[in-house]
Amino acid sequence: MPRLKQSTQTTEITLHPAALAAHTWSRELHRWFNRSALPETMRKALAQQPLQCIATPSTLELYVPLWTSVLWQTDQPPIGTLLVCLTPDEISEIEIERAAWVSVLGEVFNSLHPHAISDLRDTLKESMSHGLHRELFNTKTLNDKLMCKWTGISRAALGEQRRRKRTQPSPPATTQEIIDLLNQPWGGDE
Amino acid sequence: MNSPDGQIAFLDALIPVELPDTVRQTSLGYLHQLCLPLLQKHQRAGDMLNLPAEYLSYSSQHFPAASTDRAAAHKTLVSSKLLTLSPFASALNTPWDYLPNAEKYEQWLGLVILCCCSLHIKGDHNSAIESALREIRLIATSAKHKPLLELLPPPQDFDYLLQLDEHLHELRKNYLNLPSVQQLGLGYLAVVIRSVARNRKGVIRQRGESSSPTSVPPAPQTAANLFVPLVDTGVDDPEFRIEKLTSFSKNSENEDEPTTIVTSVPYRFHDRSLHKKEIALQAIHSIRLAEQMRVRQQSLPCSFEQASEWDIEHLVTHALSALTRNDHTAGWVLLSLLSGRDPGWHLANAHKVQITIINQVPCRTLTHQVPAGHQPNHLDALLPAVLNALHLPLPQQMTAWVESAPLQAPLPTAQVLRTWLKAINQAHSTRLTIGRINRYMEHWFLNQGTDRAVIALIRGDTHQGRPSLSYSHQARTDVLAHHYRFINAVFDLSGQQASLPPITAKSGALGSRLHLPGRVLHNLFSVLAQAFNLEKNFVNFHNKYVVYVWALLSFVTGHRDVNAPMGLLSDLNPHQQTWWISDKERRHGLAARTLVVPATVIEQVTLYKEHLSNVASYARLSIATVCARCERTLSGDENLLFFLEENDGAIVPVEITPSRLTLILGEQLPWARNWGRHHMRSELLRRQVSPEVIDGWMGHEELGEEAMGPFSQLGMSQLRRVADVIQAVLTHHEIKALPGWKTR
Repeated sequence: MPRLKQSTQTTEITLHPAALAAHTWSRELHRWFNRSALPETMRKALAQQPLQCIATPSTLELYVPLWTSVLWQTDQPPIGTLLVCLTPDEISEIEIERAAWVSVLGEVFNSLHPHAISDLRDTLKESMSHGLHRELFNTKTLNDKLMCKWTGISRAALGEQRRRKRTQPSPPATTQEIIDLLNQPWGGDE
Repeated sequence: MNSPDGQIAFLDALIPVELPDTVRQTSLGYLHQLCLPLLQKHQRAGDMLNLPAEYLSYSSQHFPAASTDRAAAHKTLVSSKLLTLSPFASALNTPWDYLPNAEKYEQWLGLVILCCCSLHIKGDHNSAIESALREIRLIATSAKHKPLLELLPPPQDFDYLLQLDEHLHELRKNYLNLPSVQQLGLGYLAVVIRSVARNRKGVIRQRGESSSPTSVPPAPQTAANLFVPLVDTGVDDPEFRIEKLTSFSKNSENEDEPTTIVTSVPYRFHDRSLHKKEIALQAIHSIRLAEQMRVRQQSLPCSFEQASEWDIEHLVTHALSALTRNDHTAGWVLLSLLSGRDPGWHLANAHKVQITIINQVPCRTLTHQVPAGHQPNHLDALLPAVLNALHLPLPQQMTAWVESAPLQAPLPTAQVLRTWLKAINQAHSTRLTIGRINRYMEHWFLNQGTDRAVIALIRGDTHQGRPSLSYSHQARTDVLAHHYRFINAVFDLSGQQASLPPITAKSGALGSRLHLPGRVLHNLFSVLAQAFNLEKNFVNFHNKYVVYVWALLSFVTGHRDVNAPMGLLSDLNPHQQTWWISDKERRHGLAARTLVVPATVIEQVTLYKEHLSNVASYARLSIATVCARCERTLSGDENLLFFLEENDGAIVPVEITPSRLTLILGEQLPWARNWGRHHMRSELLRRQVSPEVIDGWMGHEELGEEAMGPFSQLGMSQLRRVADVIQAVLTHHEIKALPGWKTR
């Protein structure tokens, strides 16, 4: 049965050897968002995601998730991070390797479409409370300046995304517009 | 009825077993001896066919040593006061040997007893039987009644009972001054003769409820029986009606199957003229009717009831000859032949038919309007125009008759028409009647494979009577070509020239305007596709995507604009590419049909299923009702197409109704939602698909026209060809199956 712990000052977490390949591959990925540029509060919060480890007599070997380690302030997770511990008898090396790879691939497959960056800001503003905005991003609302800082794209690019969205054809509203659309010439007409 | 049990029951009812054996034996023996030869004679003439001869011969087999002393038997009846127990036995044993014209009496005795036997089998004539048998007995035994025998004619002078009946009728009128006893007596005898001759029904006299405490209570009704009139029996006589019995179980909602077994379908016939016919004629009439209905079930025109080419040839020759003599009736008869309508119809429909000279050509002008022929003015740029009048030229020989303004003059009566036709019938052994002349045009067109809508158009039918007329967009020249072919064929029969004016190439169409030009059809689906592609909100996206799917599927299947269109997903068989469509109820059940659908439909349904899966996963944790509905739809438990609505902040799935469709469609569909049926019917006709197959495809099948009926020669292969044609329409107009919501 997995056992739950909370990390302390004496907790020592290392990478499980079976997860090394996945971790190395994931570490080399070029991400859309620059995580190190995120506000510290946000990074701390992300860094406190629960970890799954294999408990050995001397150490805890991490295998899922692997991406949080980038956000740790030290070489250990923040104190109080929830740890789900299994013994080597409860999970095989192969299962550990598979779980590690699924974890890093899941991060990729859940990523945002690059054309939707402007949408991200606009929709997040509507959905997330001001309090959380202020707490996580140190700002009243998520703004273009921050987006550009995190993603490295120019403000002009964001503006272009918005312009493109605005100029998307809107559905015809009036009867005359419909009639004009229906009456458009078509190559196959006899 | 012909079983020995039936014979015993019959004879026991006539001569009850309560009578002394000697009386029974005498009665049965004399019944056999007196009545059997007489019955055989009458049956040869077609009378009393309901009385089996074996019933009367039975007595001789079972009473070989029967007593023949009728005088003794009569005495026994009188002394035992049994004269009223059995009117038959009393009449049979009446002594008549001493009468001056005994032979005539015996003939009358035999005839009356036979008639009474026949009426006994028919039932409900007990009073007439008792009165007649008493009268014939009293003629032999009572001095007051005896003179009646002198008045009665010898029955053997008449070959048929009807003749005797008419003679007795005259007799009663001529001898009104007879003593009342004899007048009544004559009446009693005449009633049984008439009832048998004219196959009259008996009379049941019922007493009031309070005075019949022993009456059987009515059986509990488990099902409500209802006679439903059959539509268009094809019989001209307004007095003739056929109804079909249908049963509606009151507990049908609790039953999977009806609890009563119905082995046949009962029909009820109302024919006021039937009681005037002899029973043999009735039988022939019924056989003919059954044949007529059966032949109609074969999806083929009924031929044996139509005028032949021989008839029409002589009719035309005679009519044209008579027209040169300004015979008014000849013009009407010829018009009936060429219009498929009797003269009276033209007068009753004077508001929509005119017979005039146009550009020096005699013409029959019909006003033709269907609902889809009227569209708002702002659609004029999109939809083809239609004409409201159809000018059907008549042969040049009718010019003078048309100039005489026939509709203003009194119409020839039915009697005049019959007399007019009688001359041809007698001269050329034809069998022309005005009904056959009226029907000939439709019969001829059907044999040529002409679209029923075109026939209805030429005949001036309304779209209510022939629904396919509402959906058709007919080129005027096509209709005229059919009309010309018929007139020329009819005139060719008699070697005449109709001299019709040439058909001008002037364009113009009749009927529905909803035959979309190619660009409009293509653009319509583009507009519907664009509408959902622009939506980001998944509820709006789903609704507009469903509209596109509905538009495509209903267009391709000719689905009616009903609640829950397209039914369930399980109605589609993707392997056979068939779809079970049930969009109408008619007559006594569903008007469901199975159609073959083109490949695009299968593709669209596959994409729609993917859409539902994506919507289900999107809504899984947040909108459980939507997720569950998607899953039930995919499993075929709920209707295929549904909308999503916001109700008090919650998103709920709702069924598609015409009003909801209107709401979601908005201005995107500026004409009727069943436009697909209009367009596809006209398009399939244009692409040379058989009209009968199209009617089957659209569910426009009346009695005897069922494309997939048991006698139909049409099959699924024809529907596969229709699917190929529809696929070609979709491909040509770039109408495609489109994917729906994607959860990324």
